[in-house]
Amino acid sequence: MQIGVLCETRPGLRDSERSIAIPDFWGRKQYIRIEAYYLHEHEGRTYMPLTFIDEDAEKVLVELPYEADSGKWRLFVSKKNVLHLEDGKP
Amino acid sequence: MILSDREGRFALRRGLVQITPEPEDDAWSSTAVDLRLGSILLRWKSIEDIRALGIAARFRPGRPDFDFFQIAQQLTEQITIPEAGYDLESHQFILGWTLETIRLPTLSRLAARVEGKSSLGRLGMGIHVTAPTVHAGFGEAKPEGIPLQLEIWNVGPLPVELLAGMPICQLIFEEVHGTPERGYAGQFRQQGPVGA
Repeated sequence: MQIGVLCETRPGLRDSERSIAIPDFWGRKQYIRIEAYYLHEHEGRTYMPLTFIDEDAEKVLVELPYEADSGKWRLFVSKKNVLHLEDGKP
Repeated sequence: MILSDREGRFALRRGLVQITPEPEDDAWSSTAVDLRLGSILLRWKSIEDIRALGIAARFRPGRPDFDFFQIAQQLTEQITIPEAGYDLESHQFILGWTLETIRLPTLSRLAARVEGKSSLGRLGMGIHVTAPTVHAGFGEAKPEGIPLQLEIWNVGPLPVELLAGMPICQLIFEEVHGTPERGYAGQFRQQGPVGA
C-alpha cells in the first residue's frame, strides 16, 4: 500500500531533483534526495509516497525507496502526517 | 535466493538465524537488515612506527607461515570509540566489528552477505574489502554467535565520524541449495575483539 508522508522540500543536487526531509515520530528528520515528479502535492502541502509496512495506534512504519542520508531504510512516522494517496484522506 | 524481510524475521523466530541483540523493526529493509558498529576498532600503526619496530614493512600473505592474527597483534592498536566519536581519516583503513553477533547454523541452509550502506558509500566509506560472504555455519561454535569483522576504509576527501552503535552495514540472507557437508571452518571462525 502506498501512502504519502508529509515532508519538507529543498532544491536537490540537480534541477530535476529535490532534497526532502521527513520527520519521524520523534521529530528527527530523515533526509533523502528524490526526483521532483515523484512527490505528491495535496492542499498546498508536499507528501512523499512511501511503502506502508506496519502500524500501531499512533505510528506508521514506512519504507523509503532507498537509503536516507542517515542510513535509515525504514522509519516510524506520526499518523497525523500520513495521507492515503488513493482517496486523499488522512 | 535472497530472503525478504518477512522471511528473514521468520528465520530469526525459528532460530534458523541468530542475531544478538535482535534488530529493531526499523532496522529492516525489504531484503536486508542493518547491523551496527561495535565499540572496538583496530587501528594499523603507521609505516614509520612499523619500521621502528624492526619488522619488515610489508604483508606476505602468500608465505606458508603467514599468520594474520600475530601480525594484527603486533601492528595494530585497539581503540574503544569514545562517546564523541572516532574520526576515520581520509585514506585510513581500520578493522572493526558489528555490535550484533551472528550465528548461521549449517543445517539452516542459510548463508549471508555483509554489504555497505549507500549513505556511507556516498561519503567514500566502505566496510569490506572483497570479502562479503558469511558462510553457512558461521558462528556455530558459540551459542550466541560471533560478531562480523569489518574492513573499514575511507577514500573520501574528509574524515568520517564513527560512533559506536551507528548503522554500519547490512546483512542479506540467501538460501543455500542443499545442505553443506561441512560447516564453516575458515580461519576467522572465532573472530571478534580480543577478550570478546
